[in-house]
Amino acid sequence: MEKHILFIDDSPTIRSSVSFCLRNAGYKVTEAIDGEDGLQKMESMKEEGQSLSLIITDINMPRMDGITFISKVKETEFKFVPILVLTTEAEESLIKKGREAGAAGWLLKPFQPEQLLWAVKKVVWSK
Amino acid sequence: MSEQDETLEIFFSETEDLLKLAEESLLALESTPESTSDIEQLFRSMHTIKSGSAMVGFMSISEYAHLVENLLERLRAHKLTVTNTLITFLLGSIDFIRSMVDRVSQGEAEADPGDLNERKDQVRRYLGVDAISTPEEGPEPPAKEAPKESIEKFTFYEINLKFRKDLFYSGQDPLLILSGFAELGEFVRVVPDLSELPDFANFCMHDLYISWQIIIKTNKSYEDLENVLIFVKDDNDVHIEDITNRYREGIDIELADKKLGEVLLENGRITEEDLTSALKKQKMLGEILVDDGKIRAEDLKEAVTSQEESRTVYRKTTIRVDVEKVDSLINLGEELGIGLSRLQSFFEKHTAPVEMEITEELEDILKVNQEFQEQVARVRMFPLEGTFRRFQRMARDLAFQQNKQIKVISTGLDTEMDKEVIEHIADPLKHLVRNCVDHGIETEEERQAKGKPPAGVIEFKAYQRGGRIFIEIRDDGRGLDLIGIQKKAIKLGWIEPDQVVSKEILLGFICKPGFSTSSQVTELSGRGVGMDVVKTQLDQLGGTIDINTKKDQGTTFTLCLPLISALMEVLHVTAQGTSLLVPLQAIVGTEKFKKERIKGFGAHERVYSFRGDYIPLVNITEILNLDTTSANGNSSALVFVDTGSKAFGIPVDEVLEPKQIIVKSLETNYRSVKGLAGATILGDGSVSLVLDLLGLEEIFFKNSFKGDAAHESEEEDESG
Repeated sequence: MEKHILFIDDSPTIRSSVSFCLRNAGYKVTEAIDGEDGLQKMESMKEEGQSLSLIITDINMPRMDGITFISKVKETEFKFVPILVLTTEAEESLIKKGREAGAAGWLLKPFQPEQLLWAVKKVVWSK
Repeated sequence: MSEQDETLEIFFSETEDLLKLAEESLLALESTPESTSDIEQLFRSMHTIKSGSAMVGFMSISEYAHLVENLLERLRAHKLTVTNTLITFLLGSIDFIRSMVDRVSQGEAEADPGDLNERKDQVRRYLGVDAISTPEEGPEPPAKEAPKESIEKFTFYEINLKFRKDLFYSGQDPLLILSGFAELGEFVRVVPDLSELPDFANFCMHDLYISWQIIIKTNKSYEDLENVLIFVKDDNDVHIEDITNRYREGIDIELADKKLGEVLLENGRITEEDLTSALKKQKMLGEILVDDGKIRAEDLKEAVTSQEESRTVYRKTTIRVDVEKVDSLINLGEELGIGLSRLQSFFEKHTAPVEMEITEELEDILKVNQEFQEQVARVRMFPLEGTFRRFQRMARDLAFQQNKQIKVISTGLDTEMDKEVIEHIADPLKHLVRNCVDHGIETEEERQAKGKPPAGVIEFKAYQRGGRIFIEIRDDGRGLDLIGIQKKAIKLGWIEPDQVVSKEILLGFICKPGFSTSSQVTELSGRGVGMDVVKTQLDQLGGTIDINTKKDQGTTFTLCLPLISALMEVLHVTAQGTSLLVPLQAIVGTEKFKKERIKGFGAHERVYSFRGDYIPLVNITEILNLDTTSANGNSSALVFVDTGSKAFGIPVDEVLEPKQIIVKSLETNYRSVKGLAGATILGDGSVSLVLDLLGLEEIFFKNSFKGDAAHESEEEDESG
């Protein structure tokens, strides 16, 4: 089955490049512009009965930041979906916060497409 | 391009720092060779240099650093000792790495190939100290091909994975990680640790209880393996350790203590059949000695004969007695006891100073009589050996008929039981053994498909615990079909289709009459056919059965039986004025009733704080429909019991003394009543009822899942 990834980032450039890279690798991608938008997208996925294999999110975003977003996800039925954080933040305490909120992994920008796909494969079953 | 330059800059400055650190550690080691922290530091530095240089494409540096790292690994594992020569050598290595880094920073090649190879050989010579002593390690490749060979050489790693219990909440999947490792090499051994697994009642499906130990044979690097753990290594207890030294020539030298057959079996060199048939060919000690000419065949014969004679003599010291004679002795002892008790209570009521001596004498006689009764009862005890042997044989025959392979293990053969009980458990045991072989154990092909050894295992085990005998029959077959049982229970209307029912309750169903009569169940194997018969027979013996099953791992039936069928130790209590006897072996404590310790929930449920736990209270007067004019009001004491599966408290008016009684069956004298094991005549001639705690438990707990309605209807049944 096609793996569905929700990608959240406020930068259009990053959104388009990451989505391109993921789609190219055969994943289905839904984009969201911030945490709030991400939660809404997940709400409609739930209504449409779509599955979700992975969430990739930025940290610094308007309206709702990544950490808050992660903890909100953990309150939904998508709580067991792995979440990767893709950000420029490398601060130890922030990473710790993210982990405590339930992030599965941390990826630092800038990154190579291979690195991204490699990381995705670490948390998503693929054939 | 600029980004790459930046990365290079970072690499140069980082490497310089690391080399400095490594130097410091080496110098510190020179003065304190035992310092593990310095060895660790040194190792980490070299490790980082190796991976960093590979990342930026300086493969020569990386390969050289890798070799040095291997050397340090040995140091770390105490396979090498710190000597001045070694430190000098390592300092030289650091200088060499620095020179290579300097060269590349100036845009030159990392090293002159000849020089590099020579340097590598030097390291390898250190590493090779071991190789020389064990030439079997395979011909060392010629120096020129060496670099490639050494990197592609297989390494054995031990990977220990102990994840956080809440791993699933971070979206991680341990299976994904295991399969990540599987892609990198060949699993030599995978051992899951299930010790943390709680019992079913406490099991939470969102928690992870299993940890793993993996031994993997791979030509991939340590980092490749570590990369699998990239997202879990920080906050989980996961380690990868190079254990190649232990696996010299690919064999775990820790296997040295194991039996040869086991080792070969584990390596997959031989099958279990090969092993069994080879073992069968083994000669007996006597034969070998004869063959070797150490003893003559006559000597052997003589020794065997005298051994047999001795055994015959031993047998001759036992006598055969008609069971009836023993039984009448038991009855007489019982009568005597009752008579004495009556005398005793008579004297207690009419105590006069002169009679004191008589009372004391009487007490002594009572004690002697008690001892007498116990000893007579023991005459009836037999070891279970014969019974077990019989079923071992039966299991083998049955399996043979069905072309199944089995191995039967029996333990606790010398456990003794009342002859009558032994006789009566033969039937239930037969049934259980049949179930195990027919339905539990799979065919050879099925087992192989599941990755199990071709021969199924059936284990008979007997042991005594407390005042009871336990007999376990365990198989490692397919386990009971819980889903099938549930479907059947729904069909029978015992549960609602959408009802969530615990495994225990489901297993309880198969023992209920009416469950297994349908032919449909017989077709779908492993559903505990005829278990109700087994249960009834055990009930009659005052025994219980406990079932534990796990899909594809097998089923264990545990029979719990009274040691002596006739004698029972009880505690005499009164509840609502009724004289009752509680089996002593189940009592964990008694306590004064304290109202404030009670906590109520639901309509009928009440729990009581006892030794830090909340234990449910079972109102026996209500269950047994005794006269409950004042409900629980005047209960002044509590008796706490543990039936093995449940602990609960029984409110009583008064706790009197412990007694040893002979239980008279209610069934033969009246009719069977659930919750009561029987009755007895006490010393004062009054009748007292013996509680059947498991029956009470069943009435009170097992029906409560249906809610209060079922609970009450059950009570009505009892009263009606």
